[in-house]
Amino acid sequence: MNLAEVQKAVSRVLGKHEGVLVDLSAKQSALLELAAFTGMVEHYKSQGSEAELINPKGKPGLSVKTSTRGDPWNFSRFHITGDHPPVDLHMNLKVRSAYDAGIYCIDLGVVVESSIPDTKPQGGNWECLDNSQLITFGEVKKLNIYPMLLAQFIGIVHELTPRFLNGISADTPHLPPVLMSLGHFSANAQTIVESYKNRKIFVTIAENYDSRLSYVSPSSGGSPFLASTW
Amino acid sequence: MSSSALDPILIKLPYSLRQQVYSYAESVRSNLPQIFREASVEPNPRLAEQLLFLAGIRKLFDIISSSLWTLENSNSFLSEYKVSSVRIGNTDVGAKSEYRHKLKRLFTDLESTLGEARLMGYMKGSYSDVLKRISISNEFS
Repeated sequence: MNLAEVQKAVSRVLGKHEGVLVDLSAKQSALLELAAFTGMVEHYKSQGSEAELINPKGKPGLSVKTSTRGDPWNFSRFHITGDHPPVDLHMNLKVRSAYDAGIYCIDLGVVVESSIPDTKPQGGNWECLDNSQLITFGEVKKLNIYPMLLAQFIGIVHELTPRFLNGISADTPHLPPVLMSLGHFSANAQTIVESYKNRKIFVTIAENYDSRLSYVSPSSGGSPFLASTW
Repeated sequence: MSSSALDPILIKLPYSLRQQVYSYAESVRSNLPQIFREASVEPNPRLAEQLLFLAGIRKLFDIISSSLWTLENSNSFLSEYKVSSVRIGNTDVGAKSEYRHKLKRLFTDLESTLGEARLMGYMKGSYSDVLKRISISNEFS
């Protein structure tokens, strides 16, 4: 294999698809967040729940919320029912802190049914979800899982759902807060994760998330988050 | 990083993708002593350069394939809900969208090019195994 020929051939491919690559660089995170959204629904369905897709009024198809901008009723969400009180699943959701007036934006929020308006409230702005309505949540990173990333994630869990750091796990089928990553464990990150159970820290770390999704195709079922499936 | 072999390729990428590939190659570079040890191969600048080139290509391939794959998975799941489109901003990324079609073509072209160059076999597996293979086969010139 001649290195110069390989360089030329690969450069040719990248040049031919320049527009797609520019678009991909802009949408990479959003695609991952979409995959997290559908993956979480796959988890609930694997636990026997039903999921109804609710699209915003007046908009064709599914509308992905990719940032803090915009109101949740203008984007798609899932309504999930089953052997548990009904919940809703939202993307890029603003949530009040468990301790103070701080507001955080989480990539995925599992919330008490109808705790977020379906339409713009009359006579006022909707600022964020009240912390008491947050059941669990997910964060998505296109990074390897390294120790500081874990520490940052635990910090988010502390601010939003501190009960999962105090020996209280989630009620099935809800997962404890989930960190989804495209990357693998680096350094001693896996050792840190393995220590969480003994420390009574209940979180779900889903490394290599794209591989997990491929393992639980819609035809085979299963959850991309549970060890028994992955 | 001495990424001279990757530079002509990566200059074609948008900044954020380029940085992801460079950053990944740097992380492999920082692990070179261990990789050479595990492969039981005498440290060698030529082999190191070749390995870093392959690491960069692998990361590029992974970025594109995982983006396509996560999109395909999402669309496959959503087909049950018979959505007419899947919009990120103003772009439809649904199963029948032009976006998905173009991303698939990019992936197919890259996979085909790497296949013709006999590089697909290096896109998986540990780097110590890759290093052993390239040190024995002398495939690069």
